[in-house]
Amino acid sequence: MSMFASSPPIEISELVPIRDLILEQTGMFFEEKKFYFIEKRVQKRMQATNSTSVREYYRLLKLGGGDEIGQLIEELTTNETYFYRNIPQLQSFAEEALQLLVEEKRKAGDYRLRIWSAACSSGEEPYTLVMLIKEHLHDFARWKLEVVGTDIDTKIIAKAQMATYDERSVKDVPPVVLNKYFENQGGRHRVRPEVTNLVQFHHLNLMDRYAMRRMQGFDFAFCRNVLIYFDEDSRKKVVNGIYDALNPGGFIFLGHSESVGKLSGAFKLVKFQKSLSYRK
Amino acid sequence: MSKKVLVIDDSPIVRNLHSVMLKTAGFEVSEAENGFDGLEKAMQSRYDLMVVDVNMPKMDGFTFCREMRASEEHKDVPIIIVSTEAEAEDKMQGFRAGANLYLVKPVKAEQLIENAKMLLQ
Amino acid sequence: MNDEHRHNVNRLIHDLEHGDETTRRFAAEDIEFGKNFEAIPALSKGLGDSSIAVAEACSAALIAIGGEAVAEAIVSNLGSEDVRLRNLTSEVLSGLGDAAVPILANQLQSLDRDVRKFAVDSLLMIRSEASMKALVVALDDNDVNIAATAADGLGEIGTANHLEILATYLTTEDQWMKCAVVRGIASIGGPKALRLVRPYLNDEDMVVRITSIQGLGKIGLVDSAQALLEMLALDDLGFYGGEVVTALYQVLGQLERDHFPSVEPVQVIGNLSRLVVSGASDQRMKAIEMFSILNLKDYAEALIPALGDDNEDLRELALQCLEKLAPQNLQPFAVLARDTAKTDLERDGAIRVIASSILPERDALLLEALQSADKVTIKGALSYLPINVGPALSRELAQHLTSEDLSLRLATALAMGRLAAPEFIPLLVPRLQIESEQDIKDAIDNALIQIGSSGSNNSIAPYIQSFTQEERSIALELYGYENPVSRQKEIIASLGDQHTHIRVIGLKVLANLKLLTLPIVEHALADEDPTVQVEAIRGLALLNLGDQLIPTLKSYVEYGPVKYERVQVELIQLLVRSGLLEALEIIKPFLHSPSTWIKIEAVEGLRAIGNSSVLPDLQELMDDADEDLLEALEQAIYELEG
Repeated sequence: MSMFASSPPIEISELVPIRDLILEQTGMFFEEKKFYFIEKRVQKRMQATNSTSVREYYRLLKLGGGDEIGQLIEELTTNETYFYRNIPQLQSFAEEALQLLVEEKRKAGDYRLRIWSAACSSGEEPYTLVMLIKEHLHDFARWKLEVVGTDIDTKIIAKAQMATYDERSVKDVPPVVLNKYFENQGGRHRVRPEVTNLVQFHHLNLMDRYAMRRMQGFDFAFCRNVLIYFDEDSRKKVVNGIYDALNPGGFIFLGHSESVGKLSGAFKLVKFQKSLSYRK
Repeated sequence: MSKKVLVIDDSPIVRNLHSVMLKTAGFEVSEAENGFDGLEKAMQSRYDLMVVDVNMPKMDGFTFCREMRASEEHKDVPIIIVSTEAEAEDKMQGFRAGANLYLVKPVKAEQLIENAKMLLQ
Repeated sequence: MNDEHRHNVNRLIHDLEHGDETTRRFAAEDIEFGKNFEAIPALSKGLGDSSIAVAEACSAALIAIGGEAVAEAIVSNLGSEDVRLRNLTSEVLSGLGDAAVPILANQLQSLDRDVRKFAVDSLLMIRSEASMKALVVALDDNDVNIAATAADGLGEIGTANHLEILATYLTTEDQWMKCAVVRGIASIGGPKALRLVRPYLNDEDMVVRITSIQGLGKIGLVDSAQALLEMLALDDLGFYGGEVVTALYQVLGQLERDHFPSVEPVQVIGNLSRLVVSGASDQRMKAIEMFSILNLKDYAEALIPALGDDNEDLRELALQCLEKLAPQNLQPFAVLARDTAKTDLERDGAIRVIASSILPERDALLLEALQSADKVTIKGALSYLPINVGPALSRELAQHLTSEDLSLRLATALAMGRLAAPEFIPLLVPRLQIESEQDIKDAIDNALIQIGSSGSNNSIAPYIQSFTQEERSIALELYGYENPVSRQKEIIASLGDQHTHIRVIGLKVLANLKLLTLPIVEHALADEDPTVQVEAIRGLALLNLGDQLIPTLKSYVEYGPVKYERVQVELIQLLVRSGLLEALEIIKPFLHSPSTWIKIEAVEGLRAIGNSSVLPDLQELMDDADEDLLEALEQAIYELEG
């Protein structure tokens, strides 16, 4: 007997249409053994919307105005993407890799910086990167910074462009940063224009060879949220595509448990004080 | 808390044996098959001791050792180098690379364990 | 091959040979896609490209093209000075599979030791029958590293035939080769392998001994287990203990219980007890599991030290083993539980073992723990209180529900939930109102749910079905738990309350008490709030109106526009469930609702009723329908026609 006395148990077969709908809208694919993950969150949303059957909830998801799918996706991705995710890795980026690269660029008189956030989802990552860079470059005013966020899901990109988030997304943001770069909008947090102006979003499917080849000239590439859903060969293709997109000396950052070295030997291992990085 | 040891060697047989020896003494042992692999593992977890072969593909033992010594976090971790080469100049190379100890293969169990314990005091 | 195609390939080859890094990489990738065999020479050169990215792309392309021609083109790279080139070539060769085997077999004759080593590595990676045949030659290589690699690898992929071949190499003088051969033989497995490996358990060389012990684990027959158990009984087992236990664990895991060799517990207990607390964690773990595998009931005490292990998984494992073993003597555990000099974890573990026992002394020991002054023992007893305890223990719980210590309150609420006894209700309900900590509140609420759904005659039941936690709390405050039926008047009065949620609660309670009447429901149907309307419609379903249902609903629908989609859905579903033909007429208008969702709901409803008279109405809708509606319509029409 569950804690929520009014939610009925859900059959696996009932979850399949919801799973497919999620895949269609977000690209996130949940295999059968992860259904418990969806089930709990669907039950929660069913209770919140007073739906008495999964079928009814599915109908609501698909046709009931569009907001419910947003809510469900937020429930599902709440653990996955938020501002300042994986702080040690971000520190490594901002305090070590970034500093090294900008020093090299200063010497060459080149003050442009381009960063790619692949599979950027609802935008937390690219915005985080802008904030980090603003906080860690003492001569930021001299630099021309451009961050590009891409995702396969056009709806989530639209959400990213709105740059407005709830409490869960900003839970790990340092208070100083929250004050400086966010403004309150009806109880939610909106990213200020000084940050959003530096980010542009567009659609990109990482497995599309020709579209990937159009990505060029980046100094940093982040692909932290999505490779776990890919098989080994596809991961290699993505990493190789990122290689092509980077400038010589550009850095690649993958998700915490993914190893660049195992996917491609083309990147050089760089040892910093506190971390390992890979650069072209 | 048990001490964690990283054993790096490209031969699965040797890795296995050194692991077994160290496990018997109560250490928690992880393995890597070359210096590169070892470097990645060292970055992800804390180790109290490393036992490293010299001749390995992708990154040899001396290079690995130097990388460890160049890192703030790992410069004090004890390293035992284990090698087939017994010449004095090889040993010198080992120490110059930053190893604490240089043992010649094949290594006896007691030798490895006693030395490990001593370095971990 | 037409000219355009040839031109394209030529262009790609040109890019591969002369372009900048990015161009070369793209070219190699496109060649991989097109599997252009004309590019083999260029790709072969490309394996040595100064850019690793390009080299890897060439490697992928060569593998995609496949075939002997590729193998021939690149094999000479194995002798190159360039380490990277050699490694990459080896990878390509193994990626080519059987096509590369003849070429590699030739390389086994090379005078260059490194070439032979790479050839062996590649053949091993191919792992096919053909590659194995070729590998046998490498067993005679005069470089022991190569011979050993071949022996080890053959064992992994070889069959019983290879046993004979490998056995002939057991007489080697080289220690590493011997190890590799033993490992290889063990990998192949079988009774013959066991006979061959067994003598080396006593070898003077430590390395060979360990390899044989591990080998026995891999072979996994009853006789292996026998041999390992004999070792476990040795006084001077010393250093090898961990490996023996690991191997034994592996073997026993593959045998049926009734095929286990017999063992005298007293002989092995000395070494096993020692191994529970020494060695690396995976070894200690296996030693612990041995107790339950071999059912060493009488020696359960030997596991007590593991209750204090630093490793959480090990402690948990030890506890589970103890629970399985069901020790016959609980005294050592009672002593440990009382010993304040021991760690909390150990004492908690001891209580858990006591609680899991079915011996008669269990309850007395738990009562003692609950009545003690010591928080650790109280908490432990609360956490593990089994469901079938006697009434004396239940009474003890009351005082801890109001303890100052919140972990005790939580543990008590959880225990009450497990025991689910109605006598807890008067304790839980007041506590629910005062409790400030949310998780304790949740636990109390859950306990009430458990009691309420347990079926015994109790007064909480009306507040369970379809209630949220908050609603339940409010309902309890309003109507109490002592015979809610007697508060009928008040409940009905709530139906007129100004607050929506109270009206909803009132309806829910009446529904659960089966006190709903048509007048009540009709009144609620006219409520301005959709949540109340929804609840009313659900209530209608409970009334079993039979023929009266349709007229009631008709007047409800005609009374005023049914605005809210949620309510419409509920209505349609109720109509469908009624099974009445007249429901059709009420549902049909919804086919023209401005909301697609409702349209679909109506279509589905008509489909479920199954009367084909609605076909014209459905077909009419097809023209203007969007994708989802169309899908529903097609399905419905298909079913109704058929």
